[in-house]
Amino acid sequence: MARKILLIEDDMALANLYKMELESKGNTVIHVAEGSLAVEAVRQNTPDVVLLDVMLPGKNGLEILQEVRDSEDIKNAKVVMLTNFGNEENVSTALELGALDYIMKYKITPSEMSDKIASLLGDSTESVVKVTD
Amino acid sequence: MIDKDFKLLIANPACRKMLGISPIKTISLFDLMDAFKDYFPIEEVISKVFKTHEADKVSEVKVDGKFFQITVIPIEVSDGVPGVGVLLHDQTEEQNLRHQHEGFMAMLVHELRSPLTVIKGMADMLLKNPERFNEVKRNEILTQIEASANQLLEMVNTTLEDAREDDSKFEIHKKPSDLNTLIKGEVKNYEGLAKERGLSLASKLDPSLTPFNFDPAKMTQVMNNLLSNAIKFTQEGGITVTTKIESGNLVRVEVADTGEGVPADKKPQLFHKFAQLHKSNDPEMPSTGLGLVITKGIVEAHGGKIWVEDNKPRGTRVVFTLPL
Repeated sequence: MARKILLIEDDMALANLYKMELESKGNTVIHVAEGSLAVEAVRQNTPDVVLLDVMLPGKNGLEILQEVRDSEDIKNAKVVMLTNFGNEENVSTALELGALDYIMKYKITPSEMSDKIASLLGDSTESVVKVTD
Repeated sequence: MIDKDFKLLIANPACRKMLGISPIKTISLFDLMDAFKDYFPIEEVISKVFKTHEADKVSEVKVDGKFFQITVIPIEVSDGVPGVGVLLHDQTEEQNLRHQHEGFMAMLVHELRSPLTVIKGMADMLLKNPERFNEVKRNEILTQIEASANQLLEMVNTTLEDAREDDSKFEIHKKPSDLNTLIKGEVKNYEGLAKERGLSLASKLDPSLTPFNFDPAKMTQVMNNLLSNAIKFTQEGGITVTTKIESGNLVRVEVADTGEGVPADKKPQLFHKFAQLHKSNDPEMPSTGLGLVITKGIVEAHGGKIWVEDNKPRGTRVVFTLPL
């Protein structure tokens, strides 16, 4: 299912990589490279999901996530952390703030990433439904 | 020093300075407890040592932005009268350095992962679904892969140069070892590879060279680097390793090849930035270019020197010396 995805990523090469992948699956990708513009971009674009980097110029991903949660109009925005900066503290902070997942970029391929986003948003990637007792 | 009545008998000037107590003031145990109040129950450790007569040590006690290691040991204040000694070690600087180092490593790992993720991801996209991309797009992807790989290489170069400035990276552990035997072993290890490439590999070792102090693990690394380089850059002919005692207190080691040689203007760069002179396209001989920089670091850490000479009539001779 095609989605509107807001990608907040300051590394242009990585942004380009994810944009290519997600667009090739029919999604619309809006890219923002500056941390300080992120919250406003969430508000303006009402994306289906926000892919949020942690290390960003201006404002870091966790601050952005906190601000989104504190803003009445966008507090329910779906956010997936997509980063190469992982320590346990960051992961638990992000999950406590309601991030759907904390994905380490280097651990997955672009297609695994887009499948994962789809499944986090409730798109079934499997055609067979297993029924158990 | 504290006696059994918990009276503080002596506090040296360093201790007073650490706790911020005037050098002339008479001080009591309360001053010590006061200094650690809100941070650490030092009196509990003191009581415990009185009871158990066993020393106790607590590290990284944070007091007012500083870090202390507290060691409490059982002592005798006078004949048969028990007491304890409290040793305070200010660890603040060590802690700061350690945190800086950890922070630096975390940043470095993050910085290295970004271009790697791009290279891996782009290659994966191209391999899995080439039909999804037209030629223009494919070129764009390949150009990006190359750019990210260059970025990565540049970062590794810079980091390595920084590391070279830090001598501790080439910390060596010398012990009496036999260099000739080590070289013989290394030559044997590389015989197969040389043979595969149609090259000869020989050694001429000075029999008067007896065991002397050097780090055998690090020297093995040096010989590995030099031999693999020599084999990599030699198309025909062969490689000869020579040892010779010079002027009584130096051993000179040469790895001579009959490769295409190093142009004079490139010689100074060889050990400097590990700018690869030859791009090796041979997948069996991958090259990071790191070898010579590390080699130089190891040789210099032994108090030796390393340089490159022309091998007449053809090829290169890498020469290094080690003090005996």
